[in-house]
Amino acid sequence: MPSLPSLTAIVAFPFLMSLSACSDPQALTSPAEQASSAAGAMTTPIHLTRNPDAQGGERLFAQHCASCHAPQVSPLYPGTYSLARTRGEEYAFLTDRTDLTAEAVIAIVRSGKGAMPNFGQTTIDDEQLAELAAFIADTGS
Amino acid sequence: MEQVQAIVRIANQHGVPLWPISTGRNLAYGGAAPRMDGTVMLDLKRMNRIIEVNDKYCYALVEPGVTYFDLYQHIQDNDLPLWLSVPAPGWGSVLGNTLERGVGYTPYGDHFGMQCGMEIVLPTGELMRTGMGAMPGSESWQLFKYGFGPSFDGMFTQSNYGIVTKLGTWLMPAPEDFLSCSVYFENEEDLEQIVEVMRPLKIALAIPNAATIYSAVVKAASMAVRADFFQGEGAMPRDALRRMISELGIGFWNLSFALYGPTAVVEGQWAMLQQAFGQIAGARFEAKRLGDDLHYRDLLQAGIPNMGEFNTLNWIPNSVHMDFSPISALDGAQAVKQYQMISERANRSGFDYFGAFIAGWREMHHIFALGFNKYNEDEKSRARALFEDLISSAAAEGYGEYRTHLAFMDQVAATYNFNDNASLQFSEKIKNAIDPNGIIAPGKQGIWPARFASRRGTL
Repeated sequence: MPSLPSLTAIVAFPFLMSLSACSDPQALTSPAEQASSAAGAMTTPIHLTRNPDAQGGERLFAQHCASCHAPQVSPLYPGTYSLARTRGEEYAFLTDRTDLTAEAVIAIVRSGKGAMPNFGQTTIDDEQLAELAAFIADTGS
Repeated sequence: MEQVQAIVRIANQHGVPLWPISTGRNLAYGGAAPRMDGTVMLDLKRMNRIIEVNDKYCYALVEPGVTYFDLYQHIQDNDLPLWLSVPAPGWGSVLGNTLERGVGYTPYGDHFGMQCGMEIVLPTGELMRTGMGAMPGSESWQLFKYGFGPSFDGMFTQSNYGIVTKLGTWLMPAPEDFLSCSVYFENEEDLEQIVEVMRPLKIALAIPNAATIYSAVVKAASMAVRADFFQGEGAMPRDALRRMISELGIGFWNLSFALYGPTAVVEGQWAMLQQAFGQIAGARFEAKRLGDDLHYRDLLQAGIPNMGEFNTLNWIPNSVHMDFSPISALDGAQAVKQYQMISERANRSGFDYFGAFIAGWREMHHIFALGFNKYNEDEKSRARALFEDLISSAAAEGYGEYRTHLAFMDQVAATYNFNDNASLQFSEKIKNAIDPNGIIAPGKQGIWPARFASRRGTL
C-alpha cells in the first residue's frame, strides 16, 4: 500500500500540496478546471420550481407528483424515467398523456403501481384527488 | 397536540394500542405498517406546521408532518441563508427521519446528533418537553440540548416510549461555496485502501459530510436499468458487471463527498483530497458546483431534497427493497469482510450486491438494499431467507444493524444480547413502567410491553 501523507500535513498544509500526485490522466490538474462555474448560481431543479399562481389540480400535481413525475426524462425523476423506459417517451409525461382517465389516475394513486406506493386519504383526500385526476386527464386532451 | 393527548387517553381507557406515524414513508424499513395486528394507526401527517425557522441561531422547530420538501420550500420562499440536511427520500418527515436516526449528506447529516429539543405526549397522555424546554419561558430550547438532570431525547428515538409532537433541528448556515466531489475507483480490491485513506480524513473532519462509497450496481441503477446490461436470472455475472462499468464510465467503487466554505478553502481541501485518494491506482476525479449539471447525489450533498435515489427501484421490474444495515468500523479490512460476507450470500441467493458504505465520524453504515420483485413469490421467499441469514451471520462476527425492517426487529433486538439481554430487559422495564397498558407501538424495535409479550417473534 502506498504511504499516505501524514494527517498533520493533510490538515495543516492543504494549499502547499502538489497536484501532480493525481495519477490518472483523467484526473484534474486543478479543481477550478472541472468545477469552474460561479459559486452559488444554481438552476432550481424543476420539481422544486413553483408556479405561484397555480391552483387546484396544478398545485396538487406540483405538491404530490412532480418530485417523481416532473416532465423531464432523467433518473432524477423515477416515475418519468420508468414510464419512458418501460412504455416509451410518449408515455413519460403524465400531463401530456391523452390515454389517462381521471378514474385510472385515482385508482393508481390509491393503490400504487410498480415501484410507486399508494397515497392515502391523509396525504390527499378524495376531493383533492378528484381535482388532481381531472387536471392530469384534462391537460393531455 | 391536545388531540393527540385525548386520543392517547381514550386508547388507555379502551386498551387499544396505537402506532404513530409522521408521514409513513419509512420505506425499506416497513413503511407505515404497525408491528402487530389490531394496532390503530395514529397518522400525524396533518400536524404539519413549521413553527419556527430561526436564521440567527440556525434552527427549525417542526411538527411530525413537515417534510423535507416543505421545509426546503419554506426556506426558499423566505430567502433564508440556511441549508438543510436531507436523506434520500425528500418526501420524508424531518421529525420521523430524526427519530429513526436516519442520515443526510451535508456536515449536519447525523440528524439525531443535530436534534435539539422535543415535545412529547407520554403514553399516559401527559405532555413533556426535553432539555431547556422543561423550563417555562426559556429561549434556549433549540440552543442547548441537555437542560438540567438526565437527558431523555435519545429514549424517544427508535422506541415506543411516547409520541413526539415537536422537534427542534439545527440547520447549516449557507456556505460561501460548495464542491460536490466524486472519485471513481477501478477495482474491487480497492475498497480496503479507500477506507484506509478515508479514516484519518473523516476523523479529522477534512471530509466534513457523510462520504459514501457506492458499489457499481448502485451507481448504475441511478443511471440505467439492469436489462440494459443483463437480462438473465440470478445475480449479474462478472463479465456483464465489467461491461456495465465500462459503458457507463463508472467505477467498481464510487466515492461521493462534498466540501463547504470559502472558495479558497474548498479548492485547497479538494486538492489535498485528490492527492490522498490519487495514491490509489486508476482513481478518477470529478467535482461540481451548484451551477453545473447535478446528479441526485450532488443535490443531496447540497441539502436539496429530491427523489432521485428511488430511481434505483427501476433497476428491476416491480421492485421493492428491504435494507440490511450493519455498522462497520471505519476500517478497510472490516469493510472488505462485510462486503464479502454480504455479496457472496446475496449472489448465492440470486441477488446483486446492491450496497453502499456511508461514513460517519468513526464508523460506516453499510447499507445493502435487498431489492426483489414484489409479485414474484420465489424471489420474496429467497429475500426473506437471505435477510435472516445475514442478521445471524453478521451477529456471529460482532456486526449489528443500526435499523431494520419491522419483520426482523425481534431478530435484530435479540442479537444485542450482552449479559442475558440486559439492554432489552432494561428497555422493557422502562416500557412497562411508563406505558402500563402497552398502548404505544408494541413491538417496535423488539420492545414488547408485558401485555403483549407473547407476540414476540410472531408476525
